[in-house]
Amino acid sequence: MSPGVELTGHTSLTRVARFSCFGVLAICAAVVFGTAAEFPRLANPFGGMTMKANTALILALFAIALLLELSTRRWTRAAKGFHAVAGAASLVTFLQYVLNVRFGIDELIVPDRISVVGSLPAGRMAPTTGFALLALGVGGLWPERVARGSIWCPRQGLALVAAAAGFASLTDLLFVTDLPSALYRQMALTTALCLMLLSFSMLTTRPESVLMRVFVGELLGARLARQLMPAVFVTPVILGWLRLEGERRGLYDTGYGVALMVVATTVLLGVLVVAGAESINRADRERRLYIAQLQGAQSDLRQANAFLDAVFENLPTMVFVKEAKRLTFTRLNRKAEEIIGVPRSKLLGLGDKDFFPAEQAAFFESKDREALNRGELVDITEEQLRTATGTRWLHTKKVPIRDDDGTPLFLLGISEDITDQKLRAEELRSAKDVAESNSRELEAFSYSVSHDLRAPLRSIDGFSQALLEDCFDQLGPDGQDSLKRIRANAQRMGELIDDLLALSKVTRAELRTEACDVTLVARETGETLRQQQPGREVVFEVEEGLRAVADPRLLRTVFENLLGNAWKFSSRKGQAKVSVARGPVENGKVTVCVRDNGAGFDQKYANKLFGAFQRLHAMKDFEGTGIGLATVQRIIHRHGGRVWAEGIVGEGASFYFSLPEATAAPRTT
Amino acid sequence: MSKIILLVEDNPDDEALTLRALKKNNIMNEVVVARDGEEALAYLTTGPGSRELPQIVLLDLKLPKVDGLEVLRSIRATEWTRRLPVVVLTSSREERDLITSYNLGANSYVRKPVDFGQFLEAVKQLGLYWLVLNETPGEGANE
Repeated sequence: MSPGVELTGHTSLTRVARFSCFGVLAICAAVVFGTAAEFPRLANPFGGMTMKANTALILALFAIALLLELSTRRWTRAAKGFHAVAGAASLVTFLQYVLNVRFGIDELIVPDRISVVGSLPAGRMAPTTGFALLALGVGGLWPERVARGSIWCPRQGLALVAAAAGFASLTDLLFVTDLPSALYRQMALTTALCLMLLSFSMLTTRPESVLMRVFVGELLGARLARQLMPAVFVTPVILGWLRLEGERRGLYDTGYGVALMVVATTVLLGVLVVAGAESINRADRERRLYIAQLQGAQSDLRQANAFLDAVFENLPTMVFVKEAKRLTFTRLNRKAEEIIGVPRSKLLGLGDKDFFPAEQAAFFESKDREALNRGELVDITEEQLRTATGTRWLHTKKVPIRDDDGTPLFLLGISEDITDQKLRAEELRSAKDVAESNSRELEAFSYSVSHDLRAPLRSIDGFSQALLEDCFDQLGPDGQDSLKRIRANAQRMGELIDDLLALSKVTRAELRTEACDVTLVARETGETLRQQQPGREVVFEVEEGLRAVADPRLLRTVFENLLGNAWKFSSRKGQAKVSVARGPVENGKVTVCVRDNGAGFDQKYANKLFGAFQRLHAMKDFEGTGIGLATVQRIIHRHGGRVWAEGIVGEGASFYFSLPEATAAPRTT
Repeated sequence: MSKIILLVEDNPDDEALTLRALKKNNIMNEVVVARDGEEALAYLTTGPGSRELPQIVLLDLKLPKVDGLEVLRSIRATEWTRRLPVVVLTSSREERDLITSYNLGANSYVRKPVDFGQFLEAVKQLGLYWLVLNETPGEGANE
């Protein structure tokens, strides 16, 4: 029996049964006292047949027995005793009729002086009463154990027999009163009533029997049965009474009376059938609708499950589910098989210790337990998994899945394979180490260059000068010229070294970018050049509002080189013009153009401009080391920008460079 | 009153050139040459009172035994010499040398140019400034 259709109404039924038993006891007490005190109004208030004192005593014994059984303590043994005594008394009385003897039980306890003297011996109950009481007694003594759900329940059957006898007598009392034969079949009105009440109580002592179960509970059938049952008792009685009354008054003869009763019964049964059928149909429709909805919901559920299965199966991360008690795998996806390297058919139902080294399995399981006990996600950023295919590194999250009460049911694990990531990080680290060591070596090298290479140059230059000064006359014009050339070359080499160091510094220096005011940096650099070469007349123009993200020191170096070049190569022009302007727009990059109207260059050599020591002009025309533009290029590349140049021989050159756009206003100027 | 110049220089060529530059600029002060850091420190720390402190120290950075920066650190760490004007006179213009020198309390930092003409000019300026214009506290002066 499913929950919700439990035997509700069971206790109220028991209460009614107990009340009935007390009612019977009260009636019986009245009868016994009435008989003993010879006070008929008390023993038989309704007239007609009188209940006998013996009957009252036996009924009282049954009532007590049933009360014992109905009590919450269920005194079955004591009840059996009462049933036995009552049953034996009934049997003896009944046997008197069957064997036609007198056992002297009729007035054993209470002498009967109030019954109407008829053909029945004084104090003796009617044979039907004896039979009904005997049925009750046997029923009451019938062994307890009855197979659950079995229709065969003799106790209930015997109780019904007793009830039927009582009911028959009641109906008989209603219809026929004066026949002499009624003496042997009719019980007193109170006896019939008490019999029916006791039968009902006896039925109630086994509410779980099939018969009683039909009436108990909230099921539609039980409700229907409860509603219809009174009609079943009352209707035939009323119909029969109407028929008899009609016949008695001469409205119709017996044949037509029966016909009318048949029709009325048919109509009433028909109404009952229609009403019952309609209510069952309604319930059935609801049930079918519900089943259809249920099937629809099940189908939706299946689809949702299929969807989740597909997601689960195809996730790029390993997903597994373990049963919470034994920590054995209950579900795994494809990636899990791939990582562990074992097909799921061999994994399901087994735990970590069946596949991994003991120490590792212990670690995994301790983490599982941690998640389950704490009831929250446990994040294991790095765990090692030694499989047949080699060691893998996993980033695993373990999540407990609990029922509504908080009892852990499953452990959900999600593992990301971070082996490649880890390897890459390691490679990167070693590459970084190499780069750092290279950079340190480079630094040591530059330091040594700046100190050690310059010192001899200084000596060459210094002593050449000394020689020129000390032995000017002895040297003669050729010697003097040679020494001058030696000095010029030593100085030029010094410049080369300086420029090379600057170039290497550009590579080594840490990039500290910020939003820069390009216009301002260009203007300041131009101003410095103007001060260094006061003899030059240069028209210098800088476009307003140029901004970029750059390392301000390196940006200055870029302008020092580009504007320095512009100044230098425009020196032969009558009216030198140098400008800094916004160039063509590239996506997300600001382009700056530095233009001069100087010597220019042949466009076909444009690609050579930015190489170290590449020069397009003879030394005698324009001095220079050929490192400036290489430095510019390196700086711009380090900023992720691009640098290029356009030139026309004799007309000028344009140098373009691009830098990341500055969105915010420059911080420093 | 003699104003001694302490030249700390390991390279004899540079020493000769420096001396020549001083002479060319008519700086006649006595020049004491220390050929490594140890020698320089030995000269300076012979003891308070026993010897006059130089007017100026011209300090090269790349030196055998004890390098120039170490010499500078010792000078500044010793009470007797801590106010002594020290001009770093060296080949490099490496950022970290500049920063360390000033952090250690160098009074000036001059790079020796390759061009002897420029060197001559630098020595002239140094002499004029440190030997003539600049005032130093008297010996043993306390704060």
